[in-house]
Amino acid sequence: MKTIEDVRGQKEVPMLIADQSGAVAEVNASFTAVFGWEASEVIGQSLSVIIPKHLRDAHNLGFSRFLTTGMPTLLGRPITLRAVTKEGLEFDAEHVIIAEKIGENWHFGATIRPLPGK
Amino acid sequence: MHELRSTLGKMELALGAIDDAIVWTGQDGRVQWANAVFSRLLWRPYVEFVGKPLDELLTLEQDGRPLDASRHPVRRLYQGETKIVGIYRFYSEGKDLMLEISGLAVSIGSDRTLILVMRDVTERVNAELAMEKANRELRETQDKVIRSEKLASIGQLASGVGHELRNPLAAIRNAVYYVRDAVKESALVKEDPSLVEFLDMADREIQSATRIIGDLLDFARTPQLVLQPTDINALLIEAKGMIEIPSVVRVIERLGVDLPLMTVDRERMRQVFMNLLQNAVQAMPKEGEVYISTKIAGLPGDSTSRFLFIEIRDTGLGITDSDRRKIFEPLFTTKAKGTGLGLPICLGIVHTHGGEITVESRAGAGATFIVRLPAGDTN
Repeated sequence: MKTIEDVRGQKEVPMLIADQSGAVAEVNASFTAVFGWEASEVIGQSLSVIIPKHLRDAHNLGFSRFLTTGMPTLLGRPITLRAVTKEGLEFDAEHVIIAEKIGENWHFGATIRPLPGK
Repeated sequence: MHELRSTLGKMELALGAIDDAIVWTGQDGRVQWANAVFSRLLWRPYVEFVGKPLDELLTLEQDGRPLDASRHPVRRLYQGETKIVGIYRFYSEGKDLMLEISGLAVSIGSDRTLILVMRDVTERVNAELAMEKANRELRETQDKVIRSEKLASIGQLASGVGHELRNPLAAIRNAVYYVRDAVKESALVKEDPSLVEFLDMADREIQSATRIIGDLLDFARTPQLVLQPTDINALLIEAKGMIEIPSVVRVIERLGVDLPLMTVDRERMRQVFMNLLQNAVQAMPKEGEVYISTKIAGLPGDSTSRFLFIEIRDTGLGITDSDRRKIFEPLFTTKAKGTGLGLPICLGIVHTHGGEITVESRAGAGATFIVRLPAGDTN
């Protein structure tokens, strides 16, 4: 999974696509089922809505650094991070996050696979 | 938004480029962000410890002991302190570092954030410790020089006076012996038998004075050692047999087996043991026990050298703190008839053998004298 198109093709696993400002641009049905957000509710919001509060500083700084340098540190490989639903339920999930520059702008795609029993 | 991202991005880069480890937590004490230096400190990737309780990640020691949970910087900030600075030992994953930790608690709205900045000061602390050690050794050497100069001048004086007194005393003793012999069958003694008792008393006191002079001369002399391989356990038993032990004092031997023969001056070393045993016995005016033990062991922090330890412990009166500092000084004595030279002479003999005598004691709780003699290297 290397491109935004690859992410967009994921059906079974929750996925989201965000734009350069960090706003959610697309989600799939699996995402809405797991996270409890309707697509219309979540699109346009900051993707930090699915990030637990204690991880938001890390997300904001890491995201900003990537935009400044273009050098990824966490992208392209599975990492286990906490995620949070609309109802505030936290769970561990395997994230695979990729970034792709289309024209002048970066686009970000992620699959977020909830880990069983956690 | 773009500007803010750019500012945050540069800040993240700047915080990652410095040599100090930086980490912050929410009010629950869980890590929210840390720079790469902190990650290297823990030897764990960032994603593994973000969200984890910081006090559990940072295992700290202070004054050689694991830090009490309530004294952990994170806990202190969490409990209301707003600023702390301290040096702690961080021992984890094979790392043994001294960290200077500055902590700050800030409230933003209803949130409380704890920020810790950690600097590796291991080299600085080690240099300070080395400097302290060097200063201490210098002071000890100076003390030793002063002490040995003091001893040398006392020794010279003692030796001079001793030589001058020895001959007159010998003459007096001979005279007393002659008078006693001459009068013992005489009518004078029959008339007053206490005359002989007085002459005996004079003889005893002359002997006592001669012994004191002998001690002074012993003390003044730099001992010329006659070294020979010696069974120290046997020498201790021999020394014990040569002193008077009251029946109320029990002597208990716990002698090490398979001890090596030690190259010592047998006469001198026996003198040391006799002196220490005599002191132990005299420390118990009523009843008590004297324990004699020997063993081969190393010294803490020195894995290469071996020593023979000879311990003479009594259950007597013990030694006060202030006396303990002085007992090896010449002319210091706590005994009514002591010269204050016994222990300094012992110390001189043991030092000449490359050894040491130490004492552990508390007033009322007995005393332990430990003679340590070098017994070669472990290999």
